[in-house]
Amino acid sequence: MKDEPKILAFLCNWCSYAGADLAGTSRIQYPTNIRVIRVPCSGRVNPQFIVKALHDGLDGVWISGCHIGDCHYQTGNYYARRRFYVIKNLLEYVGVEPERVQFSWVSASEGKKFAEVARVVTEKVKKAGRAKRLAKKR
Amino acid sequence: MFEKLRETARELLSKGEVECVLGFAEGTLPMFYTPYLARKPEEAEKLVYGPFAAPNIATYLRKLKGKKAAVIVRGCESRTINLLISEKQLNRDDVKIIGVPCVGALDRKRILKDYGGEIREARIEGEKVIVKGDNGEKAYVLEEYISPSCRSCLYPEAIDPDIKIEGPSRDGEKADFSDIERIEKMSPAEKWEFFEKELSKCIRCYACREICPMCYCDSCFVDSNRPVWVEPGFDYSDILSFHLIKMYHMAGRCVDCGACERACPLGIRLSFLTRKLTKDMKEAYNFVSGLSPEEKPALGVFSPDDREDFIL
Amino acid sequence: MKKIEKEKLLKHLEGKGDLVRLDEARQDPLSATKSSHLPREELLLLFRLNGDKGVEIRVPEGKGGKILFGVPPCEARAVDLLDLTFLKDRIDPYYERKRRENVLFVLACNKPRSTCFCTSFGYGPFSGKYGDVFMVDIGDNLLVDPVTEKGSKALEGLELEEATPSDLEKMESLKRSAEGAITTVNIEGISEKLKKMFLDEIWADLAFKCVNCGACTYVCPTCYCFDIQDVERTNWGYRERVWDSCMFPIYSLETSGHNPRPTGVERMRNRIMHKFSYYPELYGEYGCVGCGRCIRACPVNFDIREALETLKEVEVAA
Repeated sequence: MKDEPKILAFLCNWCSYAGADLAGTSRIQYPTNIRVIRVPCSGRVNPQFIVKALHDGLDGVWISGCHIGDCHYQTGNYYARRRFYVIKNLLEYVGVEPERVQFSWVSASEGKKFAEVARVVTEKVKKAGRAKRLAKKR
Repeated sequence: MFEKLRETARELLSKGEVECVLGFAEGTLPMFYTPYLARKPEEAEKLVYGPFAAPNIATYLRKLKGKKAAVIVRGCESRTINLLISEKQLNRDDVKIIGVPCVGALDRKRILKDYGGEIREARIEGEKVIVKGDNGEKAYVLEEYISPSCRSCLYPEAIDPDIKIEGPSRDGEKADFSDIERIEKMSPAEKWEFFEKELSKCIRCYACREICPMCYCDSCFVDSNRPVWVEPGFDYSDILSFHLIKMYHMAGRCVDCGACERACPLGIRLSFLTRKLTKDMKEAYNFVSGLSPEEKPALGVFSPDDREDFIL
Repeated sequence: MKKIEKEKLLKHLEGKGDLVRLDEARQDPLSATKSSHLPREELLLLFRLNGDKGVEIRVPEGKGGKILFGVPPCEARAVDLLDLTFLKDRIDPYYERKRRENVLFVLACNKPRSTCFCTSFGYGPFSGKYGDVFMVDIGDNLLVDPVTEKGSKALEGLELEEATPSDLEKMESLKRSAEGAITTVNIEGISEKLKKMFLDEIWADLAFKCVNCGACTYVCPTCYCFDIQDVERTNWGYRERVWDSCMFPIYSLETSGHNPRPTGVERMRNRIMHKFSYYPELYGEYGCVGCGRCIRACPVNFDIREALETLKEVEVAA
C-alpha cells in the first residue's frame, strides 16, 4: 500500500462525479488510488489547486468535467480547457513529469468510461512513480 | 538627442495639458535610467529614453490614478497600457501617450559580469556601449547585450501613441524562440535540473512581482495565509510554486517586456518563463497580448474548437 | 601586526569549521555574513502529536560554527549592529549560538566599489576593530591582527612573522587609496532632523519610484526583520523563522484588516527612519553601514545616498 500513488481527482458535480457514481452503482471496479473532490464545474478548478496538490505530495492530479458543449453552466469547461492547457504546459516545461496531471471529459452516463479513464490515469501516474519533484520534502 | 522629447514634455506641462510627465531620468549608477516624474516645465530637461531604462514605466501609472499624465513609452509599455485599459485599471482619457523609438533594453547585469571590475561610467555611442571603470575602457556591441525578451520583440514601437517621437528603432519582424525550443526538447529530468539551477537562486524579494505593471492585485496569493498557497521558506518546491502560479496568472497578460528579469537582484532568467508563455499563447490561440485596448484577455475568452489534444 | 602567507593561513583553518570564502566573492548580491548569523530560513522547533502522550516538541540542534574568511569591515560592523537587537535587551538563543561559534576573519577592503559610502559612518575600509581577526592583503602576504580572544585562539599554533616597516607602509598606502575612492555623505544631524520630519510631504516624492519589493532589505547586512510561521502537516509540523521585509504591505497588516502603513510612502519612511532615526535614538548608532548593497540591488535605482541628500535639503520648521 505504501508504494501506491495517491491521485487527487477534481470531478465536476454534473457529469464526471455522476459518472463515478454510476460506475459505483454498476459495480464497475476502478483503482482505489483516486481521492475525489467534488467541484461544481471543471471551471471551478483554479490551476493553483493543481500546483498546491503536487506541492503537498500528491502523486497525480486528475481533473474531469462535462464533455465540450454539455457544460451545465454552458461555457465553464471551455474556459477550463484554456486554463488547463496553459498550466499543463507550464508544469511540463519546468520538468514535472507529463504523466502526473491529466484531464478528461466524462459524462453522467459514462460509468464504464469513468472506470476506464481512472485506470488509464492511475497507470500513467504509476509510470511516473511516486512524486519527488514538486513535492515538498518537509 | 532627447531634445524633441523634452520640448514636447515641456510644452504639455507649460500649457497645462497634463499635470505630469512620466518617464526616465539619468540614474546614479552607470547604464541605469531611473523612473522620473516631471511636474514642472523645467523638469522636462531631465527626461531621457533608451536602452538603459530597465523597468516597465507603465507600473507607475497606478501611482498616478486620478491625475492627467503624459507617459513616455516604448512598444511593450504601450501594449501594457492597452492591457491595463482592457482590465479597467486605467482610463484612456487620463493618459497622453508619447511613443519613443526603442532599440531594446540593456541586459545590464550581463555587462557587469563580463566586465568583471567596477564600472564607473558608461555611454552609448552608435551601436556600442562604452564603459569605463577599474578594468579600463571597453566597448560592447549593444545588440549582443540586449535583454532576451527584447531580442525577439515584434512591436518595438508604441501602438497608437498620441504623440510620436521619431528615431531609429529595432526591426520588429523576427520572433525567435529558439532558446525556449531548446528547453522544450529536454527530457523532464533535464528540464527540472535546468530550472532548479536557475530558480533556486530566488530569495523571494518579489521584485519581479512589484516591478510588473500587470501585478496590481491588492493582495497577492503568495501573501495569503488562509489558505496557504505558498509556504514560507526557501525550499525549491515553494519557490517553484510561487513562480508557476505567478506565471500562470500572467498568461495572456504578459507583454514579455523583460522588466521582471532585469529587476531580479539575483539575475534569475525569468524570460525563460515569460517567453514560454508568449510562445504558447501565440501558438495555441494565435494571441498576442496588448495589441488593442478592446482586446479581451486570452484566458477570459474561448473558441469552441480550441485545442484539446492534451485531454484523455 | 603580524604577517603570513594566505595559503598557509587557509591551510591552518582547514577542518576547524565550515570555511566560507568571502575574499573573492564580493560581487555576490547577498551578504553571506548576515545569513551566517540570521539565515533566510531557520527551523526553530518541530512539534508532533504523539497519541496519548500529547504534543512533543523538539528543538533542533545547531550545526557547528563557520569560519567566515574575508568579511569586509562593513559587514562585520553590521553584525555588531545585529547584536544590539539580538543580544542586548534579551538574548535570542538561535542567534547567540551562531554568534558565539562563528569566527569572522575581516579583510580590509582594498577596492571599494562606486556605491560604497562607509566613511560616512565614522569608520572605513581599513577599520580594524570589527570581527575576530583583522587582515590586510598586501599582495604577497596577509597582515593579521587578532581583534578578540576568539580571534587569537583561531590563530594559535601558527608561525607568524613580524610585519616589517615596509609592509606597514604598503598597508598605509593601500588604506589611503581605498579611503580616497569612497564618497562620503555628510549625515551629521540627520537623526535629529528626521525626528521632526515624520509628517513631511517629502516622503511621497522620495517614495515615488520605489515599487516596494524586498530587494534592499534582503541584501542589507543590518536588516534583521523576520517572520515566524508555523507550517502544519497532518499530525506534526514545524515553526520556522524566515526573513521578512518592511517594504511588503503584509508586513504591518493587522488581523483586523487595518494597516498602519497602508502605502509605499509610509513603508519607505519607516525604512529610512529606522536606520537613521530610531536606531540612533535606541542605541546611539546608525542602522546603516554604508555598504551600498541596496543601491546595487534596487530594480529602479533608488539610491539611499541621494535620498539622504534630499532629506538634508528639506527645510523643517524648528
